[in-house]
Amino acid sequence: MRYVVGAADDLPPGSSTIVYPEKVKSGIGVFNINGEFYALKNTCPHMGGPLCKGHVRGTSTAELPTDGMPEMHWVRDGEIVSCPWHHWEFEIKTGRTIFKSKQKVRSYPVTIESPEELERLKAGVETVPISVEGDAVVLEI
Amino acid sequence: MKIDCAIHPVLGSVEFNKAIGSPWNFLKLPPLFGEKYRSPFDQLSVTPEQAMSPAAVAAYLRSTDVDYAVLSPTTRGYWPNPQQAAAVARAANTLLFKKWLESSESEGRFLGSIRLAMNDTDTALREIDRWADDDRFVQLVVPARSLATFGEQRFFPIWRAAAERGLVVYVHDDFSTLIEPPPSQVGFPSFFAEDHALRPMASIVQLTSFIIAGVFERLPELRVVFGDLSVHAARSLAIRTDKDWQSDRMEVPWVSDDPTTYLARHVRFVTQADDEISPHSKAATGTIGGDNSSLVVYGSRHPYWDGAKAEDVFPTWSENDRARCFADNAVEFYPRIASRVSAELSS
Repeated sequence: MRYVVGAADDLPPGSSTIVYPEKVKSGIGVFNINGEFYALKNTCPHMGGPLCKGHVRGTSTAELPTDGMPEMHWVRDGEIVSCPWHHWEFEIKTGRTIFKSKQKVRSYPVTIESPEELERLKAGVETVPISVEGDAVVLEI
Repeated sequence: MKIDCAIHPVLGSVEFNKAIGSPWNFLKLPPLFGEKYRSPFDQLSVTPEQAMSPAAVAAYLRSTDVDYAVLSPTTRGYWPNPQQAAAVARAANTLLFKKWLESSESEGRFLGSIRLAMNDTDTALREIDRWADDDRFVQLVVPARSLATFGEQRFFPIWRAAAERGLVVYVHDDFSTLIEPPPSQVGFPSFFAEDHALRPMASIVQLTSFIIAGVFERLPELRVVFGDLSVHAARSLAIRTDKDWQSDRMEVPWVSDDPTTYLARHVRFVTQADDEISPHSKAATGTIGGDNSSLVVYGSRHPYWDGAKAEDVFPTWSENDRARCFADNAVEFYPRIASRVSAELSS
């Protein structure tokens, strides 16, 4: 089922929003990273927290030299969301945890549809109360 | 076979001071167990003369059917004067070598520890070099109450040297009786009985530091034995590091797996008196951080009053698991004991 999030212009790079379709009541977070859109379920696999309400940021990495302290770097700015409850970090593009694990949060395909394409899709779209001007961000849920 | 990983011969004040040499030997040494918290009883289970005698210790080992014993005399923990500290470490190692390892009473049973002063890393590395070629030295011994956590970078070259040379790092809580820092985060408890019960604290701090600072992550070959921390006390605090390690990642990204996984690979715990009464001792397997039966090594801590007797430890375990505790785990964990035993077997 297709779900219209809203106008692409309303979600500029570096921003995010959360939508609450009937089918996914806890919400789906939609993120714009450098012009590419990604969507994650707003439920942390750890203990069910509202993952997409967390900080969007980068993360730490470290090199471990044979001599001297580990060298820390801040990397991947804007690509990581951390759950507000226990700060588990997820890579937005895939939903995988940054720490080594098999856990991930569910992600949803996102497309950008022109007004003409949206017209054609209208039959299968969960209707949105406001009309969308210009290109639309659409989820497959 | 039985291996006793914790024999603590006493270096008598006169011989010790003589070995330290001038100008350091004018200090009146504090009592072995410190002055602030005096026990209401004698903390040695034998006379001081017997605790200082290779013949007496050898007789004790024969009476307990021990094939190899790892000797680590206490040197009273942290010495603030770095020159004196270096002299003390060197004196202890020289005495251990001359009086104990080279004695006829050893009969090949006595294995040694290289005592290090932690004040200066280069000095410690030179002290390792002085003794490490003698394969009877199977471990380094460092004081738990070192006034700095072992994860700090300045200690790292010591751990790296240990890992490279097949020397276990033995963390011995020998009180730091010269300065006697507060035994707790709250400050000074009132009674010896409290102080004694809180004994595991310093070792738990060091264990946590090794794990969280990434020492185990960086040195896959490093092996650490805690002489004064039961596997149960260790685990109850180590579980806390497991609880939050995913959340902590931003600060310590090098902790790449749940922290207690490092225990099975890098850490062993000498048998303690609390093992005898702990309900957790009934479980040999299926515990967080590795099976008890894999994580413990037998050590009598002779001649201290609060050591463990072999017949009293883990009586509910199978013969197989007890055998692992008494010999197999030590052989597997101490590279230099492994090569000694296999050389003996093939000769």
